[in-house]
Amino acid sequence: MKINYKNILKSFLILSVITVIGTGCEKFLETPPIESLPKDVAIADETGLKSVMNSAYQIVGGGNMFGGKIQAINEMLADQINGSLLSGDFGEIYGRKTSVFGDYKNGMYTDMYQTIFRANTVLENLDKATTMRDNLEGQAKFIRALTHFQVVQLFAQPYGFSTDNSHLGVPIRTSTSIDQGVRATVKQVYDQIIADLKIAEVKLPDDNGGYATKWAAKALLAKVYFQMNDFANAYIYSNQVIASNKFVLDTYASRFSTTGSKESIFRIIYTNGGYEPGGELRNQFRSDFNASTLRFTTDFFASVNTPNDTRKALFDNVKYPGIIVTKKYNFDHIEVPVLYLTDMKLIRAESAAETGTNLTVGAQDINDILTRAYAGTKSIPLASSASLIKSNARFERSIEFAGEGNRISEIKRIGAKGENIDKRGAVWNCPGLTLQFPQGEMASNTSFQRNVEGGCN
Amino acid sequence: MKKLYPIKLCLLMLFALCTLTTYAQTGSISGKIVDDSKLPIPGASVQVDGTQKLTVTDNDGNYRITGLTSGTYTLTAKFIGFATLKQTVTVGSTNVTANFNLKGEQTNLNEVIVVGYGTQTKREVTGAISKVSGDKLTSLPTPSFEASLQGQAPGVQVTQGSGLAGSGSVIRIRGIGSISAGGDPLYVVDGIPITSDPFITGNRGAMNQNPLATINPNDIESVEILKDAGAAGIYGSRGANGVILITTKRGKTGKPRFSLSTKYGLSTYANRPDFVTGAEWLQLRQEAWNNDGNTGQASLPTAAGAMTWAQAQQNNTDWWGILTQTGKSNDQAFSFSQGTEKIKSYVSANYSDNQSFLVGNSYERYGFRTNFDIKPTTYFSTSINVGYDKGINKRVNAAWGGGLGDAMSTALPIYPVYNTDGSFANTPNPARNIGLLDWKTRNERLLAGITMELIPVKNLSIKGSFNMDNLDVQDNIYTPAVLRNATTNSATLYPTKIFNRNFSGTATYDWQLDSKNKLKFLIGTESQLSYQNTYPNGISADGANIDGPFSENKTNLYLAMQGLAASNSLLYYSGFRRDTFASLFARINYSFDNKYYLEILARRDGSSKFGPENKYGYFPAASASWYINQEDFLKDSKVISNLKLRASYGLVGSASFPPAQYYQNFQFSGSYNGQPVLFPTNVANPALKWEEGRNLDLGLDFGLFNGRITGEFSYYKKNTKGALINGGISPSTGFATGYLNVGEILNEGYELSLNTINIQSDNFKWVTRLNASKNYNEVLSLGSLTPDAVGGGTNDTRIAVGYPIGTNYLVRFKGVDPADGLPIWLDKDGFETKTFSLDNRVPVGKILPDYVGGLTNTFSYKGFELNTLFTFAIGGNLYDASAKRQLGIVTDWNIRTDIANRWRKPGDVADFPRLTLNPSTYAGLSSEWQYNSTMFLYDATFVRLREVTLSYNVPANFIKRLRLQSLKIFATGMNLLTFSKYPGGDPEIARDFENPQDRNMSPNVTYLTTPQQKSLTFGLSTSF
Repeated sequence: MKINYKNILKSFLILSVITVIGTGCEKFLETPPIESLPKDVAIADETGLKSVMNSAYQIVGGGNMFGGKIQAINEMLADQINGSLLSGDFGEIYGRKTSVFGDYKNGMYTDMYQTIFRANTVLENLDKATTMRDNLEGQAKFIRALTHFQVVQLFAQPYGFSTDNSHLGVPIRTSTSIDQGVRATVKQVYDQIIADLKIAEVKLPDDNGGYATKWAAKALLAKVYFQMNDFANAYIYSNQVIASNKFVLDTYASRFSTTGSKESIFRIIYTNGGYEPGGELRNQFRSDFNASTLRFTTDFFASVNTPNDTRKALFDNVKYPGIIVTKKYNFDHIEVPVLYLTDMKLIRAESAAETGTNLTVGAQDINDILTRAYAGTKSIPLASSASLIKSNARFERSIEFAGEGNRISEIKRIGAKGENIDKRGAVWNCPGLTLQFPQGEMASNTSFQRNVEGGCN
Repeated sequence: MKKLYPIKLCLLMLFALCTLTTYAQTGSISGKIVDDSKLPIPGASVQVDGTQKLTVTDNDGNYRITGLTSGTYTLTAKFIGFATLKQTVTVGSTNVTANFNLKGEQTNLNEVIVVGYGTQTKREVTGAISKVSGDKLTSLPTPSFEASLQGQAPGVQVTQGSGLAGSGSVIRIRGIGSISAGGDPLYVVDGIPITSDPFITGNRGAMNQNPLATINPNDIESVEILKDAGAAGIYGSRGANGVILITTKRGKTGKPRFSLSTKYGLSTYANRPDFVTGAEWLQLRQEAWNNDGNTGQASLPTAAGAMTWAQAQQNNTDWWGILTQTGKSNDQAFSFSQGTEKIKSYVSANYSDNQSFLVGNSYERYGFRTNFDIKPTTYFSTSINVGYDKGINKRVNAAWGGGLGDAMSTALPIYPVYNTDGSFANTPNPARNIGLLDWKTRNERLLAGITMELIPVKNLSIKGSFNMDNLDVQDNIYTPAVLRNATTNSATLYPTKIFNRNFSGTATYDWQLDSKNKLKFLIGTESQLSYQNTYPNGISADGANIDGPFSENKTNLYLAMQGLAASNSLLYYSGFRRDTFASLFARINYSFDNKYYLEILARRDGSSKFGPENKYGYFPAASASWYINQEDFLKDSKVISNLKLRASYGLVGSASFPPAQYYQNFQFSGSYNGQPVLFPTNVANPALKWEEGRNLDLGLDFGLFNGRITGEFSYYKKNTKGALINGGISPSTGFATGYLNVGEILNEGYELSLNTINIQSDNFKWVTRLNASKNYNEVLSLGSLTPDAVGGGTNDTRIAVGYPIGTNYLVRFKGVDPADGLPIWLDKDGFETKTFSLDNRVPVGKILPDYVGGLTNTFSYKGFELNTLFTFAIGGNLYDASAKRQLGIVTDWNIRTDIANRWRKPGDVADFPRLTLNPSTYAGLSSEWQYNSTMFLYDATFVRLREVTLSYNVPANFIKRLRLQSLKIFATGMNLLTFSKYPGGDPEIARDFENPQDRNMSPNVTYLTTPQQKSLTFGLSTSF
């Protein structure tokens, strides 16, 4: 087998050139470690800035975010997982009674804010950018918004909990200064998210070589508005994404495939030997060797185990008698779609139903999903009522995204509209459905107001 | 073979250089020098007073001085550790015989003590220094030499890591003065401050890779422990945690001497926790199930997968038994020593293989050392030291990493080892891990130095010393597909080469003003550079081609590197963690009439770890001593033979934390989307500075009844300011920690060492050595931070003002309510409550003992010697962090047999609450992990019989026939007895640590910790 030493050499060269610039022949006591580049060296130019931007994606796709923890925690908080046997941190999360400790969620919290720190680092050094200035600004704002959106959904009561959304949200970080954490209101957090995305939407290009695009920003705006039950805007943005025709529905098998799904609007990219997304998803859901830690309820399985539903092939109740597992993540390597067309279609359909406009568009969206799901055996009339579209959208959503961490958002969003849908019988705004802040926030700022704990079941 | 060749050559050269004594034709004196057991003392010196005539005894203890004209002479015979003896003889034209019988001396004020950048006689020493001779370090089969310091010196607390092969120890000298920075002493081998950081290659598999395990104990002549500012002050910014000076053996004047030692040992665990059987476990689970109001058969844990109750009942796997074995060790050492006026040499080779009591775990090593002292002229000399050691550590996972840790946690007795088809079962199965994982760490160390000394004029010595310490650590891990629940195998290599270069130059001048006033000046400079060449993210690959560790398939290694490079993910650094250090120092010693001694020293250190604001630190110290017994009023005392008062005060520093923290720095790490990643790593703090200790020491050395009773009593007070804390940062900044100089810590204590010769007769001797120290530790200030600002993570300990470092910060458990079996807690104010709350955590214990020490008794009868060493730690607490899972909520963990004492029905008075599967049963408890309370806090006091050795020195007349000089056979037992109130296993705990802060705050917090070893060793040593 022939080995390409050139590549190895090239990589060494790049790194050593960068490091030599940083250190040179300075005085004996002014020789910092070669790996630790001071800021002016690290971000000397656009290349450095791009590398810092890239570091934010590394966390977004890593185990602490979309590599698995966000999905796993959201699933445990929701009602499709049978967590009666979960113990430790998982027992706490499933029990909807997290405390100030618990490394699993605390690690996620700090790392999500590290993503924001990195995005802010890029934003504060945009003067180093040249041709990529708008692109990097758009990416950094997109990543910052995406992350704030995850944090606020996990650690604060949902939008709509109070009428003016003046209830406490999470700290907003828009600079890299090292200050105490102070909770902003949920309204302020959503305003910040939308402001960032509206800039990203304009500054980002159509295609961006795997990085966030303007369509990603629009798709996220659709999701954010949808979460706020702002259906008019949710419709507008989901419609723009769908109407771009850049994305088409793809098979279930391709959703996590490393060859890429045609419906991905923003995804975590797998690079052989370089970047391995989804490790934490595999840790908690993979089921081909062992019964996975996270398992589904019989109630959920019954909802997918209907005669023509092809999606039941994604679940298994046979291999481990009495245990229902998903097969979605039974691969050594996967990619993780964060924003994809199925979501947009279901958002557009439900928004159409909620606003009572463009109902045929909504019905067609539902049919697109149904056709794939039931292999063409099921559809609704194009002239369906708003309520039929809505109920179909919600039902298909509950199956399409099972094991992908979407369900809890629905429990909260629909709860804020006045309807309790939690199958575990909790009220949508019970305190324990928000995660507790890490003790570090209270330890570094004694007036930091933590969440109320427990009280859900 | 290449490496052996130069050594052979050296040996040959040495033999050729051995000089022969020539004899003249005048009167002569000859004789033999023996000790109390009539054994010859080789290497003793005999001098004719008032002349230059000096000789040294040969291997049989014989000497001969020739060329003496007739007359009466006084001869002085000297040997280290023995009282100097004089004898008057009259010499005629023939040979006169003068034999000496030297008596062992308890306080030899002429004993040479190694101090920083030089030596002093014991008489001259003004600081607090404990000396431990090399033989004490080889008597026990410890995983690494530093563990053998336990119980040997006052003020030195040694907690051995565990019985894992190569495991390190936590050593604290006069308490702990650091919180987040390293609290370990500085280790200096023959003048080289060596790499000793246990985190240098990361923390994998719940065992900190200990670089000190590469030091061969057989080569150590002595260890000097510098404790106060008077002694450690010369190391300035690195002296605050004390300094351990290791001096290797050197060639001694005399004929070539070969020494050989061979040891074989057996080992097992010293203590273990006891767990319930499979049937009992199921029964307990059922009881919890029923208590929770469920009916029918209890569920099995998640990890049991689809296993049925009936299948579970069929198993009763003894995981502990499967994972442990009778450990075997063997240790072979050979050395050669020779010396003439011009060349002295010491050459040694050693081999050892320590297979620990854990199946699959071993540390095999071999090493060589050559130390040469060459003195071609009276004004120039040089020493060359080269030590090489190579070790292969076969690793097993432990503690949280698995292995024996699993046997104490998730590997339940109801799980099988094998499936019916003979493959490893897929339920929690540590045997599978040990059977399939291939993990070896290879350590190679080269410690080498050259020192040149020039004496241009009388009393002036100029020395230059260049040293290097290269450590090459290769961690090779191969994980087969089945073990990683994937379809392909995986291999990872973490290669790290650590370089440490050091130069020191000193000039000393002795100035004798008159017969009473003496001055000694030292000025010096030192610089050090250390860095690593490493792939910080390792080299890792999985795929169909991976069929073994990279060490066995270089093609796969190159392919993996190629793959990583292609995606911009291959990171290699030359100069990783680089750190430079430069110093100037000076020392003046003044003595008057052998009665008053004064030492003043100062050091200026500069370090690359600090920014322009605090680049340099200044560390002055002064110390003095007064021999009261030499004053007229005590001169003739029959009781007091030695009485020395000493005092010191000075500043010392510490800066054991990673470089590049003062500025915001960025590092490369892997890639995303095939593009390089540069990420911010830290919270910058440009004002970072040294931790500064103000150390006061007062001491009294005494000798009574002509040395029958000797000892030392010391008082010290160390006040550390600006202690580094890595914490206090809001996590929503994106950083969990950042370095701040905010802590202030007090360590105050007493030390006593007492040596007594209880019985001394012709054939029988009983000597007792006791050392004990008391340390009081208190955190005086933390700035504005709260206790939770530091800690968290794996610690259940915190830092709280007014309490010692490593305070157990827990909810207080009052007892079990006999009515309903639920736990009763105390709230913050001490009122009873049945609701558990983390807000009710208060400081309730401490990980630091009040007293530590050792008691040695040595009985000798003719050639037999029985030596016993008890070590003890009295006071302090032990927190059993695993017990909260082993004795708490019934989950997927093993349960300890102590659970027998639990509540079962109303009216039961019990230690443990009613069993439950649900943390919520105990109101307010969110998860079994938060079940931290005083329920699992124990008194940490323990006494253990650390060593018992029986040895026999074969009589001289017998071994002579074998043409040997000495022959000793011995048997040693280690940790044969342990006395402790702790029910959960071994009370001596230095668990695997996450970082230096954890190491300071959480010894004595056990978490599935591997126990210490208990061993028996047999061996013999001989010289010829």
